[in-house]
Amino acid sequence: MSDALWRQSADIREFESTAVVSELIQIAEYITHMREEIAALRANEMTRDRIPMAHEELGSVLAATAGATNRIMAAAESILNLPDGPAARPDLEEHVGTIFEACAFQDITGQRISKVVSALQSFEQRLDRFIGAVRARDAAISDPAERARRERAAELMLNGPQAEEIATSQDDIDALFA
Amino acid sequence: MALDLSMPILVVDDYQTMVRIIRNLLKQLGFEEVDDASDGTAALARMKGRKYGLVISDWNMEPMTGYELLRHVRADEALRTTPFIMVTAESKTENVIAAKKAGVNNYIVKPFNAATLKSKIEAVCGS
Repeated sequence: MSDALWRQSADIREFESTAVVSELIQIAEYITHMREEIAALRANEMTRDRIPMAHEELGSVLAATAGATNRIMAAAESILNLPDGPAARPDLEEHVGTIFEACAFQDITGQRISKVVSALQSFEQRLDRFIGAVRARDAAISDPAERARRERAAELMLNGPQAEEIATSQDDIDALFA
Repeated sequence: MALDLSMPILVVDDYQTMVRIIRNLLKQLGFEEVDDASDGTAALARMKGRKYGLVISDWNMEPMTGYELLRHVRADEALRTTPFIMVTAESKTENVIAAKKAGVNNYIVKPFNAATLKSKIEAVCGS
């Protein structure tokens, strides 16, 4: 190999080596950035504290609403079974009092739901930041059970309750059946 | 023709509180013969054993939905003329149209009141 050719080859090797080092530095910086973003997610805190708290609060809301509904319905059924006449007045007042007491569930459940909403807002902010940082794209659903659930819901139109502004009103439904 | 208050009614809902609400409303309207089932499969089994004057069904139930129950009822020679009212939180227009095409007699969106239930029962079973 001539000297000129050898020097040219050495220059190329040096250039390639510099390029590889530069790319490795970029990858290292990217990994460091990702580690920071993953840490910012505080995923452990979410799964250890916030999500169990949300489960617990929603479970309590379900139990409280079910309990209150049962108390209110039992009181209303008792009122329906009262005899006519003024003698039933004390019993009537007692059952009405029970209904008022049972309605107090709304205050407590409102506070519990506020805590869950606050946790969800926190998750949303962290996930938004993470999605932006990694430019995440959604993969196809890989869980067969989840895919089957979605297909069933679509086939049987299991849409669930709609927001008030987009739900079809009873009047509009009645017009369809007129 | 007035309402036949002696006709048996089948209430189909997987939420026992809703069954209790509808039972009480029906009782207030004067209906005494009320049975219930927790999904479409249980409802069909009941309908094989007793002739009902009206079925009031929720939509979203497991394993058989109210929509599937409606289609089964309308496809069954012995059951197809049974009046059927859907009482559901499914308030998308596509649900209402699909139920109407499948042969539902009326459709009530939850939450509803006694007057709405009464007027639909009268429209379906009365004069």
